[in-house]
Amino acid sequence: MNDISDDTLIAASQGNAEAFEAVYKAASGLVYNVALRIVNNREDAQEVTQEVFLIVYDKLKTFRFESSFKTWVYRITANYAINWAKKESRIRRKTVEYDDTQMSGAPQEEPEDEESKVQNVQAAQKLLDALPPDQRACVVLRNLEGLSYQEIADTLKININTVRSRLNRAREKLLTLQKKVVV
Amino acid sequence: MNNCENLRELILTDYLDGEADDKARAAVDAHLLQCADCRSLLKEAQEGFVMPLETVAREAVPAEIWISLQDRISARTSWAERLREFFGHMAGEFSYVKLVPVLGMAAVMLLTGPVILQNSRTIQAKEKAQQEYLVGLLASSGNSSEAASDAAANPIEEYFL
Ligand SMILES: [Zn+2]
Repeated sequence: MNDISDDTLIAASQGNAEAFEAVYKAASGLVYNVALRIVNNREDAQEVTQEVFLIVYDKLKTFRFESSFKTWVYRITANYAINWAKKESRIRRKTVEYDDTQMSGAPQEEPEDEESKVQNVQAAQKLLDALPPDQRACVVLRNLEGLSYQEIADTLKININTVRSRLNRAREKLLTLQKKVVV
Repeated sequence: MNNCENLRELILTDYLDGEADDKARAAVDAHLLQCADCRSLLKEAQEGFVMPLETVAREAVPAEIWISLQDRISARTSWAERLREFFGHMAGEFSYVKLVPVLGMAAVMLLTGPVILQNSRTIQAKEKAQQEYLVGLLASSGNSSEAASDAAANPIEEYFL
């Protein structure tokens, strides 16, 4: 995330439209990509990103600068996306079939050099989709965002041992998944 | 030996993520040197999910998010302004009889406005119950000024149908 000065945050919290746009420009890449990997499809990620920034818009007044703004944004995004994904997985379980192709919002014809990139994204989405939202969020924050265990614990407001055990369970699951694919 | 079982979680978490302290890392390193199973576990983990996940490129943020976000924020702002103007006007020529239907309409618009904008699937049932409650409330408030609430009841009910 690009740096945002405290002055900009304060101005945005007082309703300054330019300052809010600066906050959006600095943080939207982080919000959208974290949301995208947790809810695991582009359409939902767009909605989650909008909702997160409406929350930021409303709650910026209450931001106390005790945690970093980045951690605060990670927290709002991760929590909103986890809840969204939980709701979605309940809905999905009730539906008869799950369309595998909806995951790839990529255009029909991909240029050659883009192909491996697309395959890579699909592989990652398949892995993430195998995990329940709580574990998925830890994996996203660790492996895609590069957060430390302590930073994940601070972001999700959970114990560091909970972070460790969620990652462990997630990875055991991913290992058994691979075995199934190989056999 | 059962060392593999004991080290498995450590390998799959702290060791893999570079969170292990020197002592723990040295213990795993020493074990890996003499254990092919744990070496292949580590390799499986690194190739099976660490690498695929860590090499996923970030995606560009679609421009339409900012556009609709602005729309939603300005829609909320203009509603607040309109309400303020409205109540400012009301204060000028205040009358209780006028207040009942007009306030009711304002409340209904306030409740339904965001719903229409939001196009939400799940909220609708809840909203409907609230709206029905509101209609009931408006109907029962007719005790004090029958004529006024009757005048209000028709258009509001049509609006719900
Ligand atoms: Zn071993």
